[in-house]
Amino acid sequence: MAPDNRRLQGPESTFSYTLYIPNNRTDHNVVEQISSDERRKDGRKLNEQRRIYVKTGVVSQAKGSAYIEQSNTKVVCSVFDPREIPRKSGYSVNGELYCEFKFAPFSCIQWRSHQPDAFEKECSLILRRSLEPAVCRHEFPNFQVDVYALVLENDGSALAAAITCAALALADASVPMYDLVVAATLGVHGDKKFMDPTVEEESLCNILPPDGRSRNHGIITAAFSPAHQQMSEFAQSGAMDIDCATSSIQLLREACESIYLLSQQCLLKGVTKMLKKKQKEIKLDLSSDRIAC
Amino acid sequence: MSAAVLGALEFPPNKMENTQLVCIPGQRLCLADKEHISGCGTYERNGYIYSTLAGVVNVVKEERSSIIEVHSSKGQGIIPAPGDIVTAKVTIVTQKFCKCVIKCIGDTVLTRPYRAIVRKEDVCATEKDKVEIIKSFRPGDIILGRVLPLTEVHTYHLSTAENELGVVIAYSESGVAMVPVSWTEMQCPKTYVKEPRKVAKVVPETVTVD
Repeated sequence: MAPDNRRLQGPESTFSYTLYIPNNRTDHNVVEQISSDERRKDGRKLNEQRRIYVKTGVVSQAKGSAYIEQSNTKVVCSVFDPREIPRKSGYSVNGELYCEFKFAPFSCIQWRSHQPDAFEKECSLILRRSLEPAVCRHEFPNFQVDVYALVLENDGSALAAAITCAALALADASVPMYDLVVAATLGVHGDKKFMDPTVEEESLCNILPPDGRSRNHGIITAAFSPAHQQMSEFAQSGAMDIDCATSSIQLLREACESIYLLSQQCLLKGVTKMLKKKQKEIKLDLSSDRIAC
Repeated sequence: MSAAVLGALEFPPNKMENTQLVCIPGQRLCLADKEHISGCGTYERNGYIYSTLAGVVNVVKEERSSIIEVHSSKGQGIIPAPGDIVTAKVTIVTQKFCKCVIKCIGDTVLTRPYRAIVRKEDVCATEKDKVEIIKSFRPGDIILGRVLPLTEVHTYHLSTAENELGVVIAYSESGVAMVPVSWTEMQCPKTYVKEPRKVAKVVPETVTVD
């Protein structure tokens, strides 16, 4: 990767401050707490999602935008007008979707660079694959619509939040879509399945369970298009057997149905707000003696 | 019709007159049969009509059927489509065509301009061979044109071959906005010099009542 010459990088030999704080967040604590009373560290049940807040129309410079908060995970997504596809001269029947997923440098415990690294590039690809089937690409041939998702704070399942947020931003930008896409994350560790894992639970799910009873571990991010009961993306990391993966689909589907209701309500609120604003403008125009020609 | 529309939200709520139906992408609007045809902003699947935009449902009633359209709450569509009337600014004029930049589609001002071309043949409906571009448009003119079906990548073709299309605003060589005097000429109010242009017949939207 080319070195970033425009920004001041920190001094080269630095260590994260987390190495020096008392170690009170070990894996054992997480697993023990669950087995005692079936509740996770933040009080949720294994199958419970975190509370979600969504809002559209937050970035004024973008054509459409949305903001999502899933407890501490915060993602903002902006969508811009279609523009000509750079570096392409052939005619294409379908338009393209250019997606970029980025963690803000201050979003994770470890400082992240301004340039996208390999994990972010892969997440951008997953984001694009989950949104593409839902967008009516034949309505803007030869053009590309830019979608930028920025994670402001990562507390687990940032990618799923970004997918939900990006779909709302696309709808807010009046990009024609077949359906709203919603996504959810499931973390698997042994025989435990954490719905909507926090960053701690995610790092737990990335390692093999130590007791050796089961080798299932990993994180699944799935995107659904509920209007036609279709799944637009299924991204799984780690290793698990087939039964585990297929039973997870059902859990993720149920989670997505509830997120879908929230997305719909949020969009409707945005539309009614815009219509009220227009009505007010029309009333103001009629009341003043304005000549239009 | 209202019975067939499933689960759509009404706007404004609790008001009997002028209610509009608000919808979001993927929302099922009604059955797709002979009486209900899907228009712009909708698509048909599995025998139902669904919406593709977040906006207001508009039903156009014809003799035997009704066309169901969805208009986005943010205004017009995202890119110029064939048949739209657009406002463009002329940038370069050559012997065979003139290049321009599309600034607005209908009433919506675009944030991102698109490139377009008006060919010599598309300037005027009559006498297509004798048209001279330099006598129809000059750089800096604001023109109204209709988008023709797409042939080239990244460039729209516009046509001004109608009475209502052509130059709307033009500046004379002295920098003053010119006044149209005929179909083919505009006059500068300061120097009284007449310059040839393909003038558009713009009908005023509202008539003042004194």
